[in-house]
Amino acid sequence: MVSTVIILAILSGILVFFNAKESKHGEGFKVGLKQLLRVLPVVLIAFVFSGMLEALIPDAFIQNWLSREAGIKGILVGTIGGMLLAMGPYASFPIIASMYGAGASLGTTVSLITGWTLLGLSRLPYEGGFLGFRFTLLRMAFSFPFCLAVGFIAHIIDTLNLLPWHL
Amino acid sequence: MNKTFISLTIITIALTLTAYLTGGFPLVMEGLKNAQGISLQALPLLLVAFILIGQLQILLSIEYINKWLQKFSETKGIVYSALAGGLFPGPPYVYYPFTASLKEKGLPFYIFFSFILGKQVYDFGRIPMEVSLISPGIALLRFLITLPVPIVMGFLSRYLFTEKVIEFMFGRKEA
Repeated sequence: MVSTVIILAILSGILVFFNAKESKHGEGFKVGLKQLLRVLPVVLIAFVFSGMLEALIPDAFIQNWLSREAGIKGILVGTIGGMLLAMGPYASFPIIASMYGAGASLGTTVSLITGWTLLGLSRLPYEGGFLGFRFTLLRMAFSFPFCLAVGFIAHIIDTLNLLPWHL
Repeated sequence: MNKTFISLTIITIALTLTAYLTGGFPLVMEGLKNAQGISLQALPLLLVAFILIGQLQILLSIEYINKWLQKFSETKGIVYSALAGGLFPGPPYVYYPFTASLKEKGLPFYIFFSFILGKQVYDFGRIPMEVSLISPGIALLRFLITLPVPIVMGFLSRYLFTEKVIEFMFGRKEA
C-alpha cells in the first residue's frame, strides 16, 4: 500500500510540474481538495457500510454465488450486481472491495467493477436524458456480453494462476 | 451527493441493526473493525489520489479534448476518441452534455460511441480511486483486461450500427 502511495505521489508530482509551468498547480490543489471534502462524508459512511456488509454476508452465499467455485454464476451475479450499484465510485468501490474481502473471486470482482462502469444505473438518467433512452438501452445491451467476457477472462487468469503479481 | 449520503446512511444503519439483531454487539464491533481497517488503508491513498485528480482536471481542458477529437477519423479516430473519453474530466452531468454536443457537430457515430465507452471504461481520473479504494492489483488487472473493450466496441459499432439503427436510436439521420 505504501508503494501505491509513492507511485500516486510521483504521478501527482509530474502533473504538478506541468501545471506549474502555467502557474495553474495551485488551482489544481484547490480543485482536488474541494472534491475530496465534497465526497469525504460519502466515503466514510461507505467504509462503515462495507465493514458491516463484510461481517454480515453469509459464507454460504459467498461460496455458492460469488467465489471462484461459483464460476460463470459468479460472473453473471457480479455483472448484474455492478449494474445495480447505482452509486458513485466513492460509495461503490468500498462495497466492491468488501465483497472481495469477504471471499468473492477475482472474476466476480472484475465483473462487479466492469458491470458498474459499463452498465451502472446511476448514469442512466444523464445518458438517457442527454442522448436518448433508446441509445442508452441499446448501448447497455451491446455492452452486456463484453462485461461477461471481461469477467470470464479474469476468472480464467485466477483459475489457472496466471496473475504475475500479488493482489 | 446528498441523496447518496442519505440513502447510504439509512442502509448502513439498517445493516448495523441487522448485525446487532443477528450477532449482537460482537458482530457490530466486527463490522466497525472491518470499516476501521478499510479506512486506515484507504485514507492516505485518497489524499494523494485527489491531488492527482485535481491536477489532471486542470491540465486537460474540455476545449483541448474537443480540438483533439476533430483531428482524427477511421482506426486512429476510434483509438484516440476512446483515449480522449478516458481523459475527459468531470462527472456525468458535465460529459454527457459534451457528448451530446459532439453528436450535434456531426462527428461519425463510431467516434462518438468510442468516446462514451472510453469515458466509462478508462476514466483515468477514476483510476486513483479504484487503486485506493479497491486494490492496486485488481485495478491494474481490470484496466488491462478492459483496455481493448472501447476500441473493439467502437470498431463493431461501425458495422453493427447501420444508418437505420442510428436513425432508430436518435430519430434522425447522423453523419
